[in-house]
Amino acid sequence: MTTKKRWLTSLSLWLAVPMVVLIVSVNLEDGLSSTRGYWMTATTKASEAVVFTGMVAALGATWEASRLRRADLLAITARSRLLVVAEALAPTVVVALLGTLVSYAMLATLALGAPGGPAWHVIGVNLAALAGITGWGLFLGFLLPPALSLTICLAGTYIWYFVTAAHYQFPLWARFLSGGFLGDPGVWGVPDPRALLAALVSASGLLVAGLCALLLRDRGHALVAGVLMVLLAVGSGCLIVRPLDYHPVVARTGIACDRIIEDEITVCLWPELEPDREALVPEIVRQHQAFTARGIDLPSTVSAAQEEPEGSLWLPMFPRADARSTVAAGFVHVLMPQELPESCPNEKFPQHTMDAVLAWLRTTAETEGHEEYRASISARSARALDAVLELPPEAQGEWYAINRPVLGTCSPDPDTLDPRHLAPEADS
Amino acid sequence: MKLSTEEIIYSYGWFSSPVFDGLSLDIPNECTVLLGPNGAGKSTLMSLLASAAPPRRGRVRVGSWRSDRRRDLAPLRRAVGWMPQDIVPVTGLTVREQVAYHGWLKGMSRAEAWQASFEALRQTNLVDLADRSSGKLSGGQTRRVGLAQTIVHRPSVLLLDEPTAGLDPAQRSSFRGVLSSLSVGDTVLVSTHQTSDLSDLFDSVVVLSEGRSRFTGSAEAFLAHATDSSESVERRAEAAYTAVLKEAP
Repeated sequence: MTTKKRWLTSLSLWLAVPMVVLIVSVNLEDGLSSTRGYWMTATTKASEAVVFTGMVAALGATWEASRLRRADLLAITARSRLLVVAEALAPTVVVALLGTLVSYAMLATLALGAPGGPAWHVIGVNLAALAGITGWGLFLGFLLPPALSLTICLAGTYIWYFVTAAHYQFPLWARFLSGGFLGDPGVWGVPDPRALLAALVSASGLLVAGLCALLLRDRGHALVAGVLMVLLAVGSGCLIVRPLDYHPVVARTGIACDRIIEDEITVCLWPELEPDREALVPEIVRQHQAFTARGIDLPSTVSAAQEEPEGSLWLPMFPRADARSTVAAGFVHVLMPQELPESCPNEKFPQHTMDAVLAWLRTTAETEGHEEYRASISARSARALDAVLELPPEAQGEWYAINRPVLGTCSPDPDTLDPRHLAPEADS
Repeated sequence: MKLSTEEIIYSYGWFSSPVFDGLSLDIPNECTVLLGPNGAGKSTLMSLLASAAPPRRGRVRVGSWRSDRRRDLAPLRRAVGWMPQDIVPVTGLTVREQVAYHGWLKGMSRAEAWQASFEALRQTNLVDLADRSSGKLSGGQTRRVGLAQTIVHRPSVLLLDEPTAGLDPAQRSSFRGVLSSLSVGDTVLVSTHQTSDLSDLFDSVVVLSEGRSRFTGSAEAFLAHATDSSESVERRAEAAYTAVLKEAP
């Protein structure tokens, strides 16, 4: 078959345009708004395109395997079966890789010029996931009649990529098996190796199932071996990712720290933040002093890493952002509770206290838009905030310390929301 | 080229009874017709001889190649041209492209296969249809495409499974004409369940029934089973066939 004919009769060629349009649209809508200046985020976000490239790869592989099966061509060929299938799959592979390349090229613009380079292990898992779903397509195409195989491929792949990630009946970790959702880590995080491993294990199972269908001459043996491989691999993948929640990101390690002698503060920055060091460090020191002056006990080491050095204050900061606003937002973020109850059935939630504390933190840190936020909270919260701001700095910190513990709980607003008991005249 | 089966055991599924239970058969090195009633296992035997289906036990020998040796599979398949009963067009290809693709599958280079496809089309009177979509042909034309793709790589052994099944009398006659003019294969095996297909074309006969060989020998020896002294080959063949099947234990 000529190369031109091979392309013209390939289903993938006709799916290529919608695939590229979808990848570009999703990246414009979502991907390009991710963290800038960090290769890991750019790589993991770009790898989400596998939900589209994978659909094309699976359908293309099913189509080609069906064509070979229908005319029983593998039964007569004197060439290696792998070679015949590779020749038939060439357009599908090229189209899927083209989609992958488009996604990586688009999102590379987020990180161009940043230290390091693309996360090759994430790209490796991405390509393995693509190979796996191609194997799944071959498995169906070789073992089922054409119409049935294409229908099952379309439905199965759609469920694999989209329904598992969107439907509440599937556990949150199920989406990681496809390799399409490896998180959107900030500069302080990296994809959880368990999510990567689970995607790799699942992909291997799907690929081996495809190879069974291709290489085993007995269709019954191929079916049983393939199904067992898929069950074994996806089952193992499930066991690996079961402990994870919806965000498969773990803390990044290996941060470098510098002590700022005159202020007795140690600041630890990632290489991605180094270009902004001159703006970030004075702002970190200023914010640190502002909060400690209000009596809030903060560690003397401020780190952009989540878990190191031990006992440090984690400050989430974004590269290529305005230093003043990212540092201010970082302080507000860490001084608020990190976990909130999902809901409080039959119980109260301390919403007024929550709003008042957050507004106070934002006002103190002078975050962008703190005045607008002040205008948006309830009258009770606003009254409390105004009263707090009239207190001396140390009393403000005391008010924060008293009210902070109730924020992550299901409980009514405490009486301590009203700061009058902390006013100097109250003491007298 | 020597073509034989040795102690072949084959069944369609794991739990179904075997179609062949130790079938050993030597196909004469000439033009042979494989006769047998429907369900005798002719098509299965053809696919086994072509190494398209693997036997559960036993082996096929084509020349010095054995189907149970992995390294022999490629040369064995190159040596054999198998035309199955159902010819399925490869979606999207023209007649010539389909024939050339089969040549490539049999190990020819693309250029060689493209060249050879023209000769195969010429031999099967398909040159005029070369650019027509292979999915838009009549039954007789599709059979001829099947034949062209079977002979494109000039096999030494030609296996034709019910090549005239489903054709009207005119098409059958035309197809037989094409067959007789072929100049490929030193061993030709044609399966049929119709004794009317037996003609001067064939030198020897194999009769298969219920998965067993009931007769293997020359066409004369086969016709000698006929009690009918008619001069018509067709009627004598019919009588001989009935007699052979009756003699079967």
